[in-house]
Amino acid sequence: MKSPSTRSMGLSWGSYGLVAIAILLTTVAFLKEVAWGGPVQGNPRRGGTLILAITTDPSTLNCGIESSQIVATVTTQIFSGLIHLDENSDPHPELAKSWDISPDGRTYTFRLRENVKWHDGEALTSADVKYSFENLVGKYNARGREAYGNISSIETPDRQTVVVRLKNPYSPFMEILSAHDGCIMPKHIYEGTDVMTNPHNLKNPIGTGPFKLKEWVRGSHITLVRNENYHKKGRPFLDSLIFRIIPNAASRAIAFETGEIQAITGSQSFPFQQLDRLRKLPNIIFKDIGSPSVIGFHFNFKDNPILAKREVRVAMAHAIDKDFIVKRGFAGSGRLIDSIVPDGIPWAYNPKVPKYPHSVEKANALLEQAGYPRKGGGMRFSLRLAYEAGNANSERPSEIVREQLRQVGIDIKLERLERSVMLTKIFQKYDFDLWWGPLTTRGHPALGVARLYTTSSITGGAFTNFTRYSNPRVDQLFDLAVQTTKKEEMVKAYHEIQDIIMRELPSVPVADRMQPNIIRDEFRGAFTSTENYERMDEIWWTKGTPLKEGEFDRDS
Amino acid sequence: MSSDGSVKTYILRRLIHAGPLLLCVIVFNFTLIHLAPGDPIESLIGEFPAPDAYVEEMKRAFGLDQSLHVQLWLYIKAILKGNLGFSFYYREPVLTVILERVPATLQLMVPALLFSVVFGVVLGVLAARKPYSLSDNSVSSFALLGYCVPVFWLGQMLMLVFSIKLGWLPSQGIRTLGAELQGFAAFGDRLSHLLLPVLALSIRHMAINARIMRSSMLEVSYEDYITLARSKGLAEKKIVAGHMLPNALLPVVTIIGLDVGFLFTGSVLVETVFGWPGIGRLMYESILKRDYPVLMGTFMITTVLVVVTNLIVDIVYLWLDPRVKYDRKK
Repeated sequence: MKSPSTRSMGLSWGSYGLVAIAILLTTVAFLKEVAWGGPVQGNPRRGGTLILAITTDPSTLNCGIESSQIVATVTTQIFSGLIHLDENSDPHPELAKSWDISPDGRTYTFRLRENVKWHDGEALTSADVKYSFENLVGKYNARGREAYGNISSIETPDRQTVVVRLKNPYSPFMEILSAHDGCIMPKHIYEGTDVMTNPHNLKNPIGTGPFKLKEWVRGSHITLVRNENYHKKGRPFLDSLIFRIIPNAASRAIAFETGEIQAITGSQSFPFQQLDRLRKLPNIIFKDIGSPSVIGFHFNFKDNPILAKREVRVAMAHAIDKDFIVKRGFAGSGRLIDSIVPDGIPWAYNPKVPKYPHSVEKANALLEQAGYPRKGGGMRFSLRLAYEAGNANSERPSEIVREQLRQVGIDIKLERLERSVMLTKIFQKYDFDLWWGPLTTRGHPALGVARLYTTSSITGGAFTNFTRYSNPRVDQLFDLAVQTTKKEEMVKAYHEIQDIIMRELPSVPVADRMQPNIIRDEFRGAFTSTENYERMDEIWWTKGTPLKEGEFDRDS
Repeated sequence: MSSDGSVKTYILRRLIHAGPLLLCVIVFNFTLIHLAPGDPIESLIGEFPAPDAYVEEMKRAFGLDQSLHVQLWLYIKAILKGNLGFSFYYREPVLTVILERVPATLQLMVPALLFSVVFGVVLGVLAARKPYSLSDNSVSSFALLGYCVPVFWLGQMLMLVFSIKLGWLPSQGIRTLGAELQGFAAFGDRLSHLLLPVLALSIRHMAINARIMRSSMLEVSYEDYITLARSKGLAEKKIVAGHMLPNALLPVVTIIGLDVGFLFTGSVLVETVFGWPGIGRLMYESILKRDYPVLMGTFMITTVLVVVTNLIVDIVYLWLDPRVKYDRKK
């Protein structure tokens, strides 16, 4: 959080004192207004338009068939999930006003709010939830497919009750029920139609969310306006929300400076190269929040005989200076991590995993020991390091890694791959030696970590187990962790998994990704969820019409 | 001038030639695009693996489960029926996707073309009137600089100066969002959004036109008929406007034909920098998304545009230069 910068010139000591007191008072007032998480803070006002930047048009406004970030950024304003997540990934009521989980962890009973209407005036019922889970999100959602695949039956004993039965207990089930992965779609609009080509996917989407689509000019902008029948009283506070499409990162930064947009959110949209400059702007609120992730490099030890040797992998882990990479590669915004589960998931993180502190001497000794002496030119062997072109979490850090590995005699050839090429080359064809990049873990290791290390995840699909690491004990522990209903058993399993993997070292985790979000401080209440584009119904404009207590729902 | 009949035959011949040319462009581009690594379905998904049901359904829906030559044959058949295909990403007919971008591109290209031609010609004439004078050197230096500056960089510099430092002009998009402007206010708003992208797009072409116009004017100025005009005591303004300009314009007219293609390419960069919702940006984003049908569609439209413009240029030649004959027999 930042308070406006103050520049003082030629002031007396007394003036300095006054300025200091003023800053203190302003800061206290400011902190009171913008405290994060929980119910709406401060005294919200009604009115105003917030313009945010996004990088490209969403491919659809049907979040039941696609769950990419760009689609979710817009659709989470139009549609709702059964719950929403706060900044600690804890669930809060949304379409479901309450829920029960059976002691065996297999049955989830949700009770829906009574007053929820679709944008066309129809009432939301349990049949919509069942239809969405069985025919849309449950079938097509990429991020929650394991969870939805685990559903054995869905019952709707009455219009407001949904009973979901799972084949096996699945501990992160609640996490996939927010609007991003579990958006509830209208059965009366989609039933009996081709869900892929239904005209409501592009025009006139019917949701239950806080905003409705007014206009979508492709390549230019998407305008959403307040849903006056939103089930939360007095919300959303804003009159409208406009997503301006600006593909170029530098142009997004300029547009923020000129006031043509007032917010940039999400790791895909933020112009990282301009981070320092934007943080120094006056009258802004800056917040680093988002789904936890792991950035680092991954080894192709199955195909490359050099990398098959553990000493080589350990030597490379010692050779890199993580602290330097974070400071210089991420403009100080990323955080150091030392395990495949980042400390952003504090309950699952194991602080006692084997560590590989920076030591060029140790790295050199291990490489000698592995049988790779320096040859002419000082290099021992050559490897390719692939990364995604244009990804700010990859471009500069990969260059630093190249230089650091050269110091221990490893000649690195950088392969800058455009995204679609990378997906095919790395994840389908396994044509790489090292890959550097960010991978979201989300708030539960079962959702974002298991896909990278379980044997069943060696599928050739994008962002699955592309190192082809396989260890029966790790598989067993992941299964145990996801199926147990006892938290301590789950934690123990994840700790052991981290211990094993960080010993065998198929990957070297380096940093948790930076997730900067920025907004003009005339807007309050933004970025209160790990899915940082969700919950925009809580954003309010300081120049709007004041609302009295009781005129709006304060609870999130 | 050649007879009306021979001009009509010439136009017909050119149009007939355009058919095989378009076919070559289709086959070449189709093969090239599909040979490039990358998968359109993978491009659609986020950071998590797409479910098999989704991948299979999409592949079937877009015909990507067929072999390449079958896909090409199906595409050509569809084109012959006037169907440009279905966009993988936008999930709409390609023609719909492209047509909704045409007005924005024309709004940018037409003023840029006019600006670059009019100012290029004026600067070229000014420079040629007194070779190696201060005005000539200034125009030549400007032209050299304008020619060298990358459009992408120039666009950002213009934004830094006029949008951030001076705060005079908006940096993004085609209009101000969130404001319901009407009448003159709306017109002024559109105009203010247009200025920087037009400037960024046209400076390079203006520089080229100025250079060509200058050389052409100098060349013409040594022709016998100009010497004759001068010896007859004709006023210099009349010589320039009546004798030199029409003759010196011919190379510039040729360049305009090429300019349309180049402006189109340049608009890819300018539209990306300025967030302009035109065809250029559609092309750029379609490459990143591997949206083959839209990419093919934009290539087709560009090809047709260049072919047609060059045909128009050839016809304009007839009007400008009576010596030009398009009748093969003669």
